[in-house]
Amino acid sequence: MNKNKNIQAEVEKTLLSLDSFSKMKAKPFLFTRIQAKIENKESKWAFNWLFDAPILKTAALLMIISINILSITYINDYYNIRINEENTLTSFADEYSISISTENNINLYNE
Amino acid sequence: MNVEKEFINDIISGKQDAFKQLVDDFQNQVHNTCYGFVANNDDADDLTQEVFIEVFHSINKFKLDSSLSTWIYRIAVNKSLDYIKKQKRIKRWGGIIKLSTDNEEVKDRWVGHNDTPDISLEQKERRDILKTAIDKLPKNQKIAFTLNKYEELSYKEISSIMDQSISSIESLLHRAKKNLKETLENYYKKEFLDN
Repeated sequence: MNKNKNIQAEVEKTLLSLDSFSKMKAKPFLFTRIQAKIENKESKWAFNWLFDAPILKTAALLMIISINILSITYINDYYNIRINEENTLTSFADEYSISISTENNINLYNE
Repeated sequence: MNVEKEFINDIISGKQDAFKQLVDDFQNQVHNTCYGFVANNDDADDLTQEVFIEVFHSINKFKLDSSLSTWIYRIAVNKSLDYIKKQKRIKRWGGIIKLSTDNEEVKDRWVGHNDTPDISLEQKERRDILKTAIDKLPKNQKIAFTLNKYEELSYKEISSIMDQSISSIESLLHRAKKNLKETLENYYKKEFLDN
């Protein structure tokens, strides 16, 4: 019973500790510091206005995607052309009994 | 309200004197409110700056559907809660910044202005214990309790800020006190058992 009373007393004392507070005040020169932060942010924005415009961001994204698609298409076409060339070369070499290496050195040999 | 409207229009039109006046009028309330949530003077100062920067950038969106002070209090509460959430995330994932809320001494933690050196270690410890208990309250109870006990706002003012009825605020405060008592009882039971 005593123990419970003690616990309750402690709880009440702790809750009452809030009453001993007085309010906190802002630190000095707050306005100056706020102004400096605003000006700092604004100067960054002025420099980055180009990247902040949503339409420009969309245009840049579409451009990157287009470049990627074009690159993939170009690479595919390039490899297809190279494969066709090699096939043609191989057929030619077979017809005339010529051996060819991957470095395109042509060796003549007699079968 | 007309005076307020004119004042707001001055700030929107970029009159620096008007914005400075706003900061001077509300800086202590904002700082005290933020301090009530974060219990650290430097953090409260940073948050106060963030609040006024937000006010500066959003003042043209303020629709006068509440008073200017209510609107500013709302921003202060939201910024403080966002800050607490961010600190918890850092604590959970970082492990680099130690934000212990246990019995470790934290510099400048819940210092009162009228604290003298002999306002004892006991009082300071009680405040820390209370702060830990308040941190465990559900969000709305914590907001209502902090605004009422720490910022000393009336039920009507709190209901405006939280956009809830006065009876809801009464209920929140009643439950907050009940929960705090329970948390503190459990804490002291454990203390008595350990000692």
